[in-house]
Amino acid sequence: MATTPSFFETPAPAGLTGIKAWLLTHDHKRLGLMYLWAVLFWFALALVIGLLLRLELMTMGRTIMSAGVYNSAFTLHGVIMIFLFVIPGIPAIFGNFFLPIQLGTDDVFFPRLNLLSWYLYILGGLLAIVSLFTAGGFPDTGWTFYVPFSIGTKHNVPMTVFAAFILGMSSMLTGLNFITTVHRKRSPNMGWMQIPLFTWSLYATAWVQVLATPVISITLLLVIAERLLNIGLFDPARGGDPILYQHLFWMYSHPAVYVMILPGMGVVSEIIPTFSRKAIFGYKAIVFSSMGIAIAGSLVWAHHMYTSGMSDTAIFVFSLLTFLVAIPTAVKVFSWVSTLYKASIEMSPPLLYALIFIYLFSVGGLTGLVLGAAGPDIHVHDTHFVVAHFHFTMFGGTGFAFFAALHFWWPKMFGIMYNFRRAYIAATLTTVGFMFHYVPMFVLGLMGMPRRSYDYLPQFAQGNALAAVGGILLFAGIALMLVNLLLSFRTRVAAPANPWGGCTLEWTIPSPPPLHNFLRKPDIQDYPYDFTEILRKS
Amino acid sequence: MRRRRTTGRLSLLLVLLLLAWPALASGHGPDGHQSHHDAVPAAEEHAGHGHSQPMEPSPEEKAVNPAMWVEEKTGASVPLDLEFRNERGERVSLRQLIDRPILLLPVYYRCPTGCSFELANLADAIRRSRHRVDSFRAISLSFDAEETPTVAAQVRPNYVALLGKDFPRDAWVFLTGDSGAIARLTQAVGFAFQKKDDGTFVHPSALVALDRNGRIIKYVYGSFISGDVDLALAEAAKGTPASSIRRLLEFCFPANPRQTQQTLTVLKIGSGVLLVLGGIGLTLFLRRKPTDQPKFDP
Repeated sequence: MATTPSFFETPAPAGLTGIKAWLLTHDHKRLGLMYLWAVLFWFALALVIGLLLRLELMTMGRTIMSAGVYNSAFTLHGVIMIFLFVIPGIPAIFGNFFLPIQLGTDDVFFPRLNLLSWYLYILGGLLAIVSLFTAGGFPDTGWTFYVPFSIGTKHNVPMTVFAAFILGMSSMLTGLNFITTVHRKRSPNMGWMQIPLFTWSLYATAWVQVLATPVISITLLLVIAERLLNIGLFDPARGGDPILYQHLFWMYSHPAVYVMILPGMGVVSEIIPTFSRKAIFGYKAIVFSSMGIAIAGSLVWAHHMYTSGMSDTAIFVFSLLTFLVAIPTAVKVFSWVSTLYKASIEMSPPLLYALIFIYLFSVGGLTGLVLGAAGPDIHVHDTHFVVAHFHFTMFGGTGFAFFAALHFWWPKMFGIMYNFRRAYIAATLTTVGFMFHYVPMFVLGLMGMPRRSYDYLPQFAQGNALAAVGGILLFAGIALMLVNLLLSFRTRVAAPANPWGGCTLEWTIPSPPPLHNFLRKPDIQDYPYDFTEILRKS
Repeated sequence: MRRRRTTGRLSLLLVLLLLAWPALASGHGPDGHQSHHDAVPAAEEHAGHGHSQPMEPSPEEKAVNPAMWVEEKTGASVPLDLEFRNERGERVSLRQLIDRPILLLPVYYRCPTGCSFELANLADAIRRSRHRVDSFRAISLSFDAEETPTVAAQVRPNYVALLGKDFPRDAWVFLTGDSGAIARLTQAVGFAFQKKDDGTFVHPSALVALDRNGRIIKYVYGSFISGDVDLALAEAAKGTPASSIRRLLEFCFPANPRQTQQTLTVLKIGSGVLLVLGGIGLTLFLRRKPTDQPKFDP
């Protein structure tokens, strides 16, 4: 085992050296790492912008930036975080790296297409940023860029939507790759109910990506058709229906919300049993709930539009469907908690992040019900309550699952361990900061403070000051976490093949893995979370 | 292997084709004007049916953005000499009305769709406001020159009723006027609207906050949530023009159910065919082949 060179030392295709070995690689692991650095870059940038936004709101009136800069900054923060961090984060990095390994195979089904997806991601990211700063002035529509009927600003809306489409295309191709890999490259001995839950979650996500992304491309086609051929589709001046644009936008963007969260749930489903040394409670229930969320989540888009003009019947149906999504989500949460019950829990940084995920995501999910119900939504829509809610789900949920995945698989990806003490301090600081940052926003929202507001009335001053302090703590915690991980490259404490006692296939191969992942045909367990062998050895 | 290569090339071709697209779409450069020029006569044709031309965005504005329904003119002033009629039929000038912070809402009273929501949303925002009701004034302005004070008087009680019996009578006025005055005021605040053949209007939903001197302070969009309206009033009281909070620009427009039905039918047939073809294709493609074998490291 020790003599087998890792994928770092074995370029694919063979013969490539230096930077070419990375930029032209077909190896899913190298691509996973290329996504990692690109995603971390965008995340760090959007994080700094987020901190500046919160500092601006720390006091009433102008604090550090003008209103125009503030509008641009929150648009940039949202666009980068959603399209360049949260959507691709877990599937593109950890999915690319671990899905083939968890399936007992050597690569994804379309390795070249995988490389193309990475280039599309980079291209889409650059295009999004360029489009936001070209064609007359800074952007200010927020990440939903309700185009082309946004208030008369002159920025480059079709190009921005096009960038979103390119990014969607990138994730769609990745999804297509994952689906085909699961079907056709899965180890022949692995049945459907032997697939690890992380891979199951990626499989469910991939279907959403493949089916929902075309909607945004069709929308883009229609916008262009309207402009070039003068057909009235969305523009009311030409007999079109602007609400149709909203429907089509959310038909993609709401399922995209589940593209964001499902892989995070998959990560937690791996971490919880590993550190509980116990088979996960309700394996099949979690599998079916992943598919259930993927299906039901694709049918609830219009809950973003309760106040945009819909019939009462439509509002009732969408409200009901939204409530239905809560059922498979709750199945997962209860399964995780039940797995922990009476388990031999071993605390570790990944588990701590996963536990924090469960708590924060539950709060995010429950407050989502407040917004999903048409009645209360009328009162709190467009307020800071919404801001707090989606940060609890997207950041407290996907963000913390991403951090958990980083800490869980870091030793496998790089073959080195990080400092646990600093990791615990960072997790604690991040969580405390998170709570002080976002809980006041719930209260501010209920008090009526609007979202996207540059300034506010005196009654909101206390909550905003508190949120700013929380924001600083949060930023410090994340910075410490990233620095701690990066410092592991300096200390280079070698990681064993199975540092956590995991029983899925990635823990049976060397750290970091060799080029084709496995040295021989892997043995597939009858049940993917059977810890009998691990416990016997320990 | 060959199939993989073909798929990769096809994807690349598709991407390249799509990449060339936004340049066409956004209408940049000299060629881009064609689409905008096309758009203007179409809009003019609609506007020509019995309504004043100046209310349309100018061709120059359209060339920048064909959907310039609200052009923010924050910091500019509205002409105070304009005269309208209130719901009691009395002639009133804006100078008389604008003696405190103002919330100006352009609507038309006989609107069968969205204007009633806008008026109700405004009533709700006023009800929830932390400002004293006598410290500001709401003005609803009908941009339909054919509407009379009688119509305004019929509509007003529906919304004022939401504010309780103690609500001062002159704290919310419902104005009507002639087309010239309407055009000057809506132009001054950058609000565009368009009359359709059936007498209904297409127009955006926007609330304009003015200070006591008639200067435009801020625009409020969306469904006029109380926080937005309160902040606008506070800024109007200070008299300092402020940047608007970006919300979805909502529209009030006559719906065409027949057209929607046709679109939906096409959509249903299209989706059905696509699903069947896609389903067959995927079933064939995703079936495992004997050649799908992984490699292992030596």
